[in-house]
Amino acid sequence: MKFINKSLLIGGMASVMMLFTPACNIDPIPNPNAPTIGSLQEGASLDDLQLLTSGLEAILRFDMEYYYWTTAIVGREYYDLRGTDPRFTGELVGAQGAPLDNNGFLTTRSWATQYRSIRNAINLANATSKSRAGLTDAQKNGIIGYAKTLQAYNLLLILNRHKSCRLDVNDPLKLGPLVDYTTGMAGVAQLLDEANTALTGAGAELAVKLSSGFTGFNTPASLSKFNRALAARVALYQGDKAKVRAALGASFLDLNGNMGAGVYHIFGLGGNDERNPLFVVPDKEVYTVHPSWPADAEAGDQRVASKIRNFDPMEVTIPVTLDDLSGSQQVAIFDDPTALVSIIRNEELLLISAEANIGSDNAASVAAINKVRNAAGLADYGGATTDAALLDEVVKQRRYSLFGEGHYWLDMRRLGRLGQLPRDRTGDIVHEFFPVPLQEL
Amino acid sequence: MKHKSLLKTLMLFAILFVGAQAARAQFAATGRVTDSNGEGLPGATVVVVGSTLGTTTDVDGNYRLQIPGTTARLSFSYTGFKNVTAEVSSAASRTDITLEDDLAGLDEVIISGLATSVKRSNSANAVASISSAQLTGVTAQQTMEGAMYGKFTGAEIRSNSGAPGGGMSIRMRGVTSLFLDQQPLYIIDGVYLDNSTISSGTNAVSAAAAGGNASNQDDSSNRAADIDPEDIESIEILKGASTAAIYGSRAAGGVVIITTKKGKAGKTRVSLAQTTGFSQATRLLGDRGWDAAKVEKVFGAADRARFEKDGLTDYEDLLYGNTGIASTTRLSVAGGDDRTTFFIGSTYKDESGIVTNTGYNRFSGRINATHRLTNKLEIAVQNFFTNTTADRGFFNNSNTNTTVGYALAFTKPWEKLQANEDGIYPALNSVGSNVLETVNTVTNREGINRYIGGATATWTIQSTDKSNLKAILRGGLDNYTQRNTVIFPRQLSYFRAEGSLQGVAVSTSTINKNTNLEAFLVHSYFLSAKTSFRTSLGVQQLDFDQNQVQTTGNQLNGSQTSLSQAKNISVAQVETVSRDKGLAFQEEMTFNDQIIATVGFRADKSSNNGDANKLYYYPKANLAINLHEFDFWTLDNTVSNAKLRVAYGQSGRFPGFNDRFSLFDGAAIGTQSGLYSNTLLGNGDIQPERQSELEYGADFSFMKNRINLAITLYNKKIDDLLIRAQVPTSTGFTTQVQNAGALVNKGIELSLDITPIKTSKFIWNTVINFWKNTSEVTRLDVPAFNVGGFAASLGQYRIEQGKSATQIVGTTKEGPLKVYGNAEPDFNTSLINSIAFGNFDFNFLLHYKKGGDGINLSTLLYDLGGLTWDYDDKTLDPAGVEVNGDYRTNTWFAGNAGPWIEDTGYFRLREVGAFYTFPTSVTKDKVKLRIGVSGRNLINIFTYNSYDPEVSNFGNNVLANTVEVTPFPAARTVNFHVNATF
Repeated sequence: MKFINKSLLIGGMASVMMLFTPACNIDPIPNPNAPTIGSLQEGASLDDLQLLTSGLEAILRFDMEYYYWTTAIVGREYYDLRGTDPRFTGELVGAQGAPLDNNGFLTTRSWATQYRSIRNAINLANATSKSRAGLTDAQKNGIIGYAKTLQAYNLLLILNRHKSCRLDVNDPLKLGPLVDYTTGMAGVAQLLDEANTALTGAGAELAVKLSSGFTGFNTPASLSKFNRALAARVALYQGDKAKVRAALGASFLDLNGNMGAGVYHIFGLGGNDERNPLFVVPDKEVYTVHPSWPADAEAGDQRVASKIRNFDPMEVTIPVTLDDLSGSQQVAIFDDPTALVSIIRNEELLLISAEANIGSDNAASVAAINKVRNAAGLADYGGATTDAALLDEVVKQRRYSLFGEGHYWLDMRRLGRLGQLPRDRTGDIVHEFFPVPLQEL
Repeated sequence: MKHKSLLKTLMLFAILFVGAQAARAQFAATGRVTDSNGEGLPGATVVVVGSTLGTTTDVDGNYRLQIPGTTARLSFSYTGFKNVTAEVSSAASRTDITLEDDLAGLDEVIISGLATSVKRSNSANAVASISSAQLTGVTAQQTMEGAMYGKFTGAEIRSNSGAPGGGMSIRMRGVTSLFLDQQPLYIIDGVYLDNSTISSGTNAVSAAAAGGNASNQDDSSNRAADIDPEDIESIEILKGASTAAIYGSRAAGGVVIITTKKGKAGKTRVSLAQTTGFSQATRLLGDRGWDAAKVEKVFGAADRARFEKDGLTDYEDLLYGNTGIASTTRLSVAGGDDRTTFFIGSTYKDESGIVTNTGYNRFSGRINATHRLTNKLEIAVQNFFTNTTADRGFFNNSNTNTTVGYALAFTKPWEKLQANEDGIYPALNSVGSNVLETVNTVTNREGINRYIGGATATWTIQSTDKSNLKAILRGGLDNYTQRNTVIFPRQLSYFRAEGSLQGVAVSTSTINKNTNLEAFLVHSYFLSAKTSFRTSLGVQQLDFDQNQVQTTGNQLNGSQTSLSQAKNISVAQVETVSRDKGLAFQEEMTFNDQIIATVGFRADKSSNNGDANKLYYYPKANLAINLHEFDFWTLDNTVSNAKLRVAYGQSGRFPGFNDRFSLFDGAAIGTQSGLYSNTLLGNGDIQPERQSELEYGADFSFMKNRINLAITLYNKKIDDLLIRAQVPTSTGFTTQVQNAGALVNKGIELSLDITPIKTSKFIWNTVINFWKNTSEVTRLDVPAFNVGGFAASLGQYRIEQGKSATQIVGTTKEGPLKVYGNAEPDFNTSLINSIAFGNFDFNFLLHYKKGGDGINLSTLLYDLGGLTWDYDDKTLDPAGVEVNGDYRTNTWFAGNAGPWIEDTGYFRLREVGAFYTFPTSVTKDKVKLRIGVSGRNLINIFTYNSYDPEVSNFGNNVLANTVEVTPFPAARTVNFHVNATF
């Protein structure tokens, strides 16, 4: 019995020890379902960087409709008369002077998704600089230049809607302060310049692949042209025409080129891909064009016929009316759910160039205007060539070339013309900016 | 590293006490154990105090036990009788013992630590316990949790729906968390039981939760339902941290400790039981009382014409008016000798639900065995296997009008829904789906194969008259595979069109494995029979691993239902893995049975925490004073027991598995795949929620324990509440889980146990329970927010500092939110009566829940469809102008959520049973034969305007589990029993 006791004692104690002594510590369990952000921030491989690059391009499209819808509706390009939410015909068009709710989805969704893109751009840039993929400094510069260009683009979209933004969001736990519009725009310009510096020191090839939306813009040199195109847009909004012209010179502006040359978002119907959220199912989703848009167009402007369509009287009652807002034609900018959405294209650059030359080279301005007019099936510009008349013409061409792309409201605002926008009901107002979301205050 | 030094101490401790034991003389103690009538008690336990040496009495109550040495103290115990100890010696080796009835359960042994227990009269905690007789003795039970209703104080038990196969939630002493699972921890024979609720995937069609596949609105069962209630010997319930602290970080929802049956030495007993039951809907609601004029007035001339042509069909009766039949066959065999005992139990249960094509089927078996290898070493094993299948139907919320309940709310009784000769059902476009087609063609099945097994070795390292040291090693495994099969065939009317989903099949496989390994050392030191010290030290390692793969396919080929015949397939996998390590220490001190004090702590670390190796400490302490044991006590004749007790403890709750991670989501663009950040910002500093509970009370027994009163008050604070906080979105994220609040639950629990009559022929026992809880959010570091439910206009919970955690708010016409109710009941009370008269026994349980509000959206849907049963009554409008349906909808259209928030109080005859045991003269001593009839929920009284006030569209989600959206109706049952024991 004693023997049994002793062996049992030893056995029992050994089991206790085996159970607990060597394993005093618990190994942290990594998440088996998805990679953590932290896991790719140090020592990323080239495959990791590729995933982050494609992920960044993918997320640019997420919730993008909230940017386009809100800017188009506030700018009275079209109305959303689907009736899915009363705020589309209420506070968004300033019904009864209603201010925009700083905690409503119209304000917050776009802001949040742009900053989410910025977060991913920062992740990509950080991961690239700390990668262990055997990349040369030049190759790293290429990816960083790409990431920072898109970071700047998203900051610009925020400032297009809001009077204020945060420039420094590198550390999510230690956000920089909210800055005013002027400081913000200077920050966007500076970020673009940094990105361009990186791209110019990035060799001939980009180490990662971009989607087909970047066809023609997938090398450091061509990405730099895309970067400068955005820089020209920023300088225009800053009112610095000399800077605009300098940037345009380094951009992909091509006086004789295709209107559509440029960089695009692409879409797909597969599992994790995104459909084009701006595609409107004809006669089902009633995004109704503001009657002034076709009414103010010149006869024969092909852009009108290609961007709007009559409602089918068999499907809907015409005019479509909701909350005393109405229209007889629907938005038809995109033909199908995989149609491309432009980030920036030659057509806009031509008009930026036309605007930037007013006052210094009005003939060049007219030449650029005519390229756009001719492409739309219109004859050469025949009006006055005073600075004021040319500006009116540029604004008009921008209104038709960039319909529904978030420009008209901005143009009217930066030129002090918001008062000219139509207000269809007594008491409606035109908002100047969206408020900063409540969560940021 | 603290572990190591403790372990060294532990070993030293062990070695010190293992003295060499010289071989000693032996003697045989013998005698007979009887009850007060002189009847022998078979199977009574006789053990030598301070050792594992023991035996049980034979059929006549005789025992014989070989004891080393010349003297020993024997302890005699038998369930339901008071324990007795007696000194025996080789000189006086025969000892006959008479055991007295333990009316108050004071000698009942209840849990006091991870490896220790204490008799109730010495416990400083209000541990509730339910015996096998209370659990399953009155009527047939579908699930273990359902069997616990009303039988103890301090818990809010709710059934989520009437669907076969279970689905219940238990909340101990109020809300203990805002966003995390609040279900108690279940431990069965030492094995940590998984109690997941796994969503079936019907959301792919119902779209109840838009945009995601996983949904808690799928009306799924929870896995505690797999336990066979017939296997259970007793359940002990630790309701809060004051008792559960020693279970540490997983005990914030309380702990339910289940002990299964064991064999007893003696003749092998075979027991065979057959129960046949019939169930019917608790209530059917009916219609508006249609006539042609009313049809025309409400729906127009076209409907009137159809009404006149086709007449009325009572679809409610057709769908819910069936009688379900349940058959349960139970065989158990138990026996053993003084070294080995065994228990074998097997149940086959087959029941059909009250809705066509629903039902539940379970085959389960258990083998428990205990063997004493030597006088020092005992090994016990438990093995349980179950195979269950539940066809649960298709109910609850739907955004596509496809669930049976939802579609019925809009189906006019003059619609023709029957299939034609070819078996093709007509489409009902005005509603969205055809309810008859849905119940006859849709499959929603849960299938579970589960093994739960554990082994415990108890080794008495050292044992003397004064002290003993035991080592207990325990291991357990809970392993199951759940397969959910959901089939919506292509021929469904709403899947026939191009562009629709054209058939949906969802297959979900979940493999779950929990393991636990534990080792304890328990040292007991007896200064006298009534003064003792007990030290326990133990370590635990727990591993949890759940892997779920859900495959959803649509566009099925023709009539095929296999996923391989689906055109589009999507797969989602979720794996949840964690490991905990814990160390527990406890010192229990008993002074002369007058003062009983315990101090202890648990230290836990877990991979669930931000820092996996940070130790979290959970202390406990309690004190009980038995006034009647003091010399000054002179009231023995009137107040036989008087105990004051106070207990304090802490426990925790882990953050959610993903809360500490900032994750990437998978993305695709063109031909490339990518990763982008999820919107949840991981919180590396996240801490467990911490609960501190102070419980105090008093127990009194009067008139020789014929009247027993227990009063308990508690104050339970949950700090570091885990809250899904909004973060500035300029971070690139939207939410972060933070420790950002605190709440307090206060409550009172009363239990009065009276035996008014007790003669040899007639015993009547009655127990009155009363319990009440109130909560308050005492700190909130984030702005007040709404949670649960759908929207403020439909009623939601609101978490707000200074307010109850269960307040229900809604919109008002004037604008600001208004508090319309509170989900917390005003109080619960239950009355349990057991009457034994000769060979008859009669038991019943009444349960009254006062107040507690719910959100009844079934009525909203029926009102919107113009079909509500009480639409034309005029009972709600205070002005007496509008009929109920118009009043509710018009009030709501004006912006008030009020009409949908209702009182869910009820009065129920939960259980009632009458049994007759045939006299042994009839059965000639060979067989004990018992027959009976019983019922469940036979009387249900409530004002709630739907099938049953106990219902939850959101399953076990505690801050949403009073929301109703067209559920599977609840049922009542009548059962007939025949039991034979050989």
